[in-house]
Amino acid sequence: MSVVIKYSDVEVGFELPKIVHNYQRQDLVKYANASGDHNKIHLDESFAKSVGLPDIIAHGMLTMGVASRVVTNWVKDITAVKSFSVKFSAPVVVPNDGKGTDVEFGAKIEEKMADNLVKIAVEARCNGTKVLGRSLIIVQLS
Amino acid sequence: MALNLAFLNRSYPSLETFKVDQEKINAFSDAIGDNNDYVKQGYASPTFLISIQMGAMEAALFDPELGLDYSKVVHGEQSFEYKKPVKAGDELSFISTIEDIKSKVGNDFITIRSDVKDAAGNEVATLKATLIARGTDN
Repeated sequence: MSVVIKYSDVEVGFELPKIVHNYQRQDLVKYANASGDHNKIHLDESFAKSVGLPDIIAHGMLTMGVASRVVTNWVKDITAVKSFSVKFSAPVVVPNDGKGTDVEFGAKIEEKMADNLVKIAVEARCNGTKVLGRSLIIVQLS
Repeated sequence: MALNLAFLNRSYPSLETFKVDQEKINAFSDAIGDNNDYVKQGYASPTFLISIQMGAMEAALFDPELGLDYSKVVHGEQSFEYKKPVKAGDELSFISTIEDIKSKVGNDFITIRSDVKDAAGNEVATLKATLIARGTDN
């Protein structure tokens, strides 16, 4: 693999292509099985409500995983990804209505650093609410 | 409920190595919708290692002495630092350390750092997870 995007070709403020991801109940089951996180707040509606949540909420790590795609779909090369940090600021509530919940993900180049490293700020919004706080991916371009 | 501060700085080495295979990589990538070519080439999505970290910490998190009400736990923060990409065939071991414990406005916070190495002893990644046990008032 090699990183095709050149450091010299990108500027601060560049916006990466957005992603809209639809979360349905079965997606949470699939993520629970793949990740080993079977916390019932993600799987059991009556349990989630019994602990004070409005309904089942998505795994924060599912949101972080989808957020990573905004950058990896752009940079293509996994070896370019040097660090990734997120804060979870609001839950993604997933009602059992057959329609699911849409989350919109975007990312913008915030800083060009030394060694061809680029700091990218990632955002995720659900019904207008930010579900990620300050979230950063650092990638190394060629 | 305050957490037991005696757990601060305790470390938990993995008891067995975690074998990464294409099936696990595919299941994880599929669950987050990652269909980039690197997945087909045997490389894991950037957040794949979380599937190891949580399992490794269960012994500590579920220890009644810690006092963590797991039914109230939500994920607050997560970070990954990558030294080399995770790929099929890797045999990974990890040491998880309880790096911070605190209480703030009725909520309990616990931060766990996991240092991941491959079979040759090379550093693969460092993960940090901050979990929040919501107080009964919110």
